[in-house]
Amino acid sequence: MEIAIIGQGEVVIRFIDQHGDTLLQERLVVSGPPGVQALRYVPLSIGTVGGPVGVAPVLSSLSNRQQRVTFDGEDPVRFARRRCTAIGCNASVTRNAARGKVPAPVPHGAGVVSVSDPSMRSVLRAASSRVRGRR
Amino acid sequence: MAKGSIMLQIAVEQTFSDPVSNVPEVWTVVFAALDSQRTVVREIASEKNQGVFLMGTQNNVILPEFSISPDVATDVWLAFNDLQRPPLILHGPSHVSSPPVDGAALALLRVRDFGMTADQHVTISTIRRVGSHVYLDETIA
Repeated sequence: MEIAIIGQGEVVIRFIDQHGDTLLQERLVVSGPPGVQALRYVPLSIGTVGGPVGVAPVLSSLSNRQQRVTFDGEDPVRFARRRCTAIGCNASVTRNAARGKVPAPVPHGAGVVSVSDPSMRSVLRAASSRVRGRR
Repeated sequence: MAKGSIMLQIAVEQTFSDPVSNVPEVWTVVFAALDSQRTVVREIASEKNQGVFLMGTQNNVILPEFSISPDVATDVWLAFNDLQRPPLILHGPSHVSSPPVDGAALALLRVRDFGMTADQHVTISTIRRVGSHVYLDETIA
């Protein structure tokens, strides 16, 4: 699948299985002049212990409201809804995916972990208020 | 017109919730239009952080010997309106200015890193972060 990003900012995309669990999260950060664009190609299947699992991409967040994202040239909401149906999600999972409401990946068991990953929006808000307080 | 000083940058972070048997490669590009004037690429750089943990899924599985590149492959393509003219391809990392190039209409930064696939007896736990940037200047030719 082709992910196209038009404009700068941070895009978070979560790839969910048919149960609505996030198997993979990709955070894509693009910077550049006005009109900058990016393309990323990703498979819609992930190999797991139980075999290959079809996934649906869900646009979870955008840091810049001016930014635009398409999946295979299509609106991400429409693409997610169609892909969810194709991999066998139930109506509730499909509805939540279309709203971008899917869980963050939660590492299980032994392995590599990232200790904490707070939302950068809240970090920026906290940092900005500290800077303003010093002026 | 000429665009002046431009930075292009892209970063990709992959986080998996469970061990997997294949990790998709990173293949991504970021690009912007130029005004077909004179372009000098000042810097191409990249960074990568990755942790990888291999696990046997059955007793007595011998884990494969495994190593992974500490860096990503980054290159910059300067392409022209005349598609018959071959693009100029510059590899990173580079911290000195390129020779000037006249007529480029597109600057494209490409970032690549390997995917990984394990057989059925092994799983991979990983988090990967890669990022690259290019600085370039376009001035009137």
